[in-house]
Order: sequence, then structure tokens, then C-alpha cells
Amino acid sequence: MLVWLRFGLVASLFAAGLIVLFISIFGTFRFDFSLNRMHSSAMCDTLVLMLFVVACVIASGVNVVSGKFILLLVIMWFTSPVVSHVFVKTKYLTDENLCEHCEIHIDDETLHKNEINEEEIK
Amino acid sequence: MLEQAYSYLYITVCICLGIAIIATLIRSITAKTIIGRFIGINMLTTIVLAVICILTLFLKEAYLPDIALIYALLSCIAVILLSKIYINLFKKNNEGGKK
Repeated sequence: MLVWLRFGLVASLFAAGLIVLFISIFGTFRFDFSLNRMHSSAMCDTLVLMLFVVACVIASGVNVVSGKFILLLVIMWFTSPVVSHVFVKTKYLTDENLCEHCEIHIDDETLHKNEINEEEIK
Repeated sequence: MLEQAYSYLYITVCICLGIAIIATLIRSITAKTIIGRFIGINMLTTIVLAVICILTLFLKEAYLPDIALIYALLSCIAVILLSKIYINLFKKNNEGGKK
């Protein structure tokens, strides 16, 4: 009975992960602006992977493989915000029409232009 | 009986993830901006990691999570490097246009 309960828990976690994953993919198709799309992509990086890893850990039991799964989740949770930051920085530095999509403070805009023209071209 | 149920579950989830990979690939290819493509590639990596996790249980191979760990780190580094290269290229082009 207990093993079937565990199977049900694993199946429901996988199902939840798939539902969030498809919502995330729908978001990437639905949104036009890149930063909005990044929001839905980050949901896939964190929540979906967590649900899948927790399901795999429960299915696997307490062993070395579970530790590797948890390590994978920790690494992804550390690297995903870094990657998101790099994406935003790339968008900020390369998109000249960014002001049309979101508000940028005038000082930031000046800094943006200065960075493009002076600092980064070395 | 239980083993068979787990096998069916893993296969079903892998098929759904395969569909998700195809959808993400289409989104990545049809994206208008380079950032959109980067986002698609990053999302694809996450889905592949989930597939590797499930394959670990399905094939009962303990070395597969190690590959997933290396893949996650390489993906992070690759995306950061690609972004840096793109920023530098953009700025060089900008400078060339102004000259």
C-alpha cells in the first residue's frame, strides 16, 4: 500500500511539473517582449526542475543518486539567476528601443549610452 | 506490477518532455531577437536535465546525474560567454557605424 502511495506522489509531482512546464512554454509563445518571456523561462528553470527532482528523489529513495539529484537542483538554483542577470544585461546594453517597452530612469539611460559608447569598446 | 507502472510513468513523462523540447526548439528558432533565442536555448537545457533525471531512474544508471551536473555547468558558462560575445560584437558594429 505504501509503495503505491509513493508511486501516486511521484506521479502527481511529475504531473505538476509537466503542467507548470507547459504553462511556461505557453508564456514564451504568448509574450512578445523578451524580459516578460524570461520570467516564464525562469519559472521553468526553478519550479519545474524542483518538482521533477523531488519526484526523482522520492522514486529513488535515500541513496547516492538522490544526493546527486539534489546537488543538480542546487547548482541550477545558483546558476539560473546568474544567467537571467546576463540576459537582462545583454538586453539592456544592446536594445536601443528598450525605453519603448519599460520605464528607464534618465540617469540610467545616460549611463546606458555612455557604457555603449565608451566603457565597453576597449 | 509496480516496476511496470513506474516504467509506463517514466515513458509517458519522457514523451511529454519530448513534445516540450520540440515546442521550445520551435520557439527558439522563430524568435525575432537574439535574447529570445538565448532564452529558448536555456529553457531547452532545463528540459534536457529533467529528461536525464528520468532516464537515470528508467535505465537505473547511477552515472547519468554526473553528466547532468556537467551539462548544467557547461550550459551556464556557454550562455554567459555567448552573451558576452554578442555584447562585444554589437558594440564593435555600433562603433564601426558611427565612424
